[in-house]
Amino acid sequence: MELAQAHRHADPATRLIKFFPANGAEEIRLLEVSEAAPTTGEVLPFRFGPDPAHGVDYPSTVILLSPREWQRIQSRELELPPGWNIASAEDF
Amino acid sequence: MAAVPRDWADPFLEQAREDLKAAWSVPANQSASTFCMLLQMVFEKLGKAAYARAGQVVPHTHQAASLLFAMLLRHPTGVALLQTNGNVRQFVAELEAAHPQVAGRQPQPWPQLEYPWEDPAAGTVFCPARDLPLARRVRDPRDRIALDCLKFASALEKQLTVIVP
Repeated sequence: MELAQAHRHADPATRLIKFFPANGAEEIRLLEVSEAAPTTGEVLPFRFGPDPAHGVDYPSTVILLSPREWQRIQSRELELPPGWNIASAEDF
Repeated sequence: MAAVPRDWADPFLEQAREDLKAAWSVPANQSASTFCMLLQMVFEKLGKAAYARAGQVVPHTHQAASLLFAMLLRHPTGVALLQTNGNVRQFVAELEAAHPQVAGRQPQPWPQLEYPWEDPAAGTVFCPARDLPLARRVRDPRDRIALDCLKFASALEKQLTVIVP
């Protein structure tokens, strides 16, 4: 997907990008893990509106995590927002 | 009894948190110039909070983010934070230069936050919502700079009391 590729290109320290199905909603949901991301201990979704001029036809929500925060997600010390099901997420 | 510099630290930090909370909630690519203004305010207040925590009189300047980055370089936690993402530091420096009072001292025309500005030679008036180059970056969902800056500011807000005890 172009959006994920663009983010990976902008941040070469990106280690993982996961795409989360939006359960029927027209929204792109990405979780990005980057070694360049500082640790806040929070999971904060950031929303963009659609931007057809830049080839992004749907709204998008991106969660940016440090590797330590990603570990805490995997060990369930930190939670993803409701509707973000890690079992159905796909790696990019 | 008048307040001492350190008395200003927590209020500046609290206000920075408030501005940061607002910045997280703004749909950045739909209100890009407002997002940029909020982000500049966050870093200015974080800088002033850091200055006050160090016991220094808070300077009447809109270039407090530069002071903040200089302070971060004096502490290992601050250095580690700055090393994470160089793009953020550059973007915040550009935001600071676009504050109207700072931009007004630059060769004109100079793009600025919050208020329209003029190209005196051409007689053209620009507005941030349409013409601010920084806002154009924020508006592009393929450019993650807005999120990178918010993440950095959130980390800094949480670690400021460690960096400047």
